[in-house]
Amino acid sequence: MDNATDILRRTLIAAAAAFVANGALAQGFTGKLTATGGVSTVEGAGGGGLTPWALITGYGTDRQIGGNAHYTAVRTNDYALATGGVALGLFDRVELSAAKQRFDTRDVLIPISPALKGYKLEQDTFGLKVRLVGDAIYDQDRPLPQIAFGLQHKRNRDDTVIPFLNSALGGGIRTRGTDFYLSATKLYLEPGILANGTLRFTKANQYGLLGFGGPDGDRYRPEFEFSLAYLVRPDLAVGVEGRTKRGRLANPALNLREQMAYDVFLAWFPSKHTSLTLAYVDLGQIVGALTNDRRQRGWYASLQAGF
Amino acid sequence: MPLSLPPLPWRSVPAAMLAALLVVAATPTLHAQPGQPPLDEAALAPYGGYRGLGMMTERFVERVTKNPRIGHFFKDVEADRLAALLTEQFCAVLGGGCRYTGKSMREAHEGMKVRQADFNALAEDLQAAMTEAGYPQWAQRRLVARLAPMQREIVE
Repeated sequence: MDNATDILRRTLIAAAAAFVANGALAQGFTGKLTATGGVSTVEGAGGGGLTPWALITGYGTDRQIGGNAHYTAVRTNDYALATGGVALGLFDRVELSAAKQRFDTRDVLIPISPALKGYKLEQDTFGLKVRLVGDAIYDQDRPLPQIAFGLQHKRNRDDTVIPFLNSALGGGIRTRGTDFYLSATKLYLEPGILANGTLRFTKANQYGLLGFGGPDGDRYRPEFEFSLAYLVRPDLAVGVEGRTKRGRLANPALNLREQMAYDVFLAWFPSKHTSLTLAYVDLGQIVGALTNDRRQRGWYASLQAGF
Repeated sequence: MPLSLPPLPWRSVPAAMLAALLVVAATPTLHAQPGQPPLDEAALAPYGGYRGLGMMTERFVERVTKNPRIGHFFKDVEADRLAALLTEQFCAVLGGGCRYTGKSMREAHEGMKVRQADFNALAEDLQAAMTEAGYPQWAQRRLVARLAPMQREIVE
């Protein structure tokens, strides 16, 4: 639990700092409508749980700064993931985010070496998002969605698994990579539906947890992601998300095949300062040969605090 | 067989005319203003009809005028007149058949320096008033969705 408590502690410190900053910057109150700040993705950007949205995180309007801190825990059949991060939304135009992921391999790597029991892969992600056109909330009379461009620079801090993969596969896997994406988000307020589509260009293997690129090369490939949510009440959303993952690493002995990830979520916004998201996730196979070739399914819980 | 209507009792003719007059007279009273087109009762039914919509709007105006964040925008405004105009406007955007007789949104907010946060604070008061009136979620969303694009003309 060291893993989780450490990230949780850092997140709480960041949340406290965010509240102090809120008092100084936001001049009393922040103005977006409840839930329109979205929640935090596992990579730190504002959006759903798995995929970024074009919405700028937090509750700051065009003249305000919004921000939040989040802590997310995921547990699947064979792995556990803890993510903590902070994000700032500047004038409903620019979003900056930083997140730390700790991916606990639990017992998966024991067949490779008993010393790797409980080995954790760590990755830092720094994100930038800029709203280009449209307003998902106010443009109820126009078909144009809100569109944003974003990038996520990832630094994998692993010094064990990626070198092992490089020696097994013949090299080429890097520990750093940058994803670029375009997100389009539209809120259909009358039926209460939020729809998002994201086109991501990436070199990442398993979100970057297994590095970037590989022996087959270092080219960007497109991936498609979507979210579809229904607003049951102004403070309650249910929905589904999906994200294609077509990492090119291949090794018959390890089965490094990637599969599309999905989740079904429930997000509750008791106030503009907190949100709680619970989801059932299916991340597809992750190093199938060591995990009975089963899809990694399990629970996802995320707490966000901010303004 | 030739049809023959029963003879109309002499005394019931004025009674029928009176009843017809009452119906005609009663219909326009559903409207706050004379010279308005006929109402689409079905469109307004989820909002308690024109009367229900008017009552909700009065409560909404009460909320915004008392709201410490945005109340100052309304200090020189006559609450009853504002509520009547807003009821007309809400009825119009809901397809209730009303004609909005007030100023355009751009004209009405010219120079007031309404910010995004002010607009959203007002939207929250509207949601609260609608919840208080017992409107179903879908009906609340419909009204908010149809007012949302006005943000472009109101916010500076």
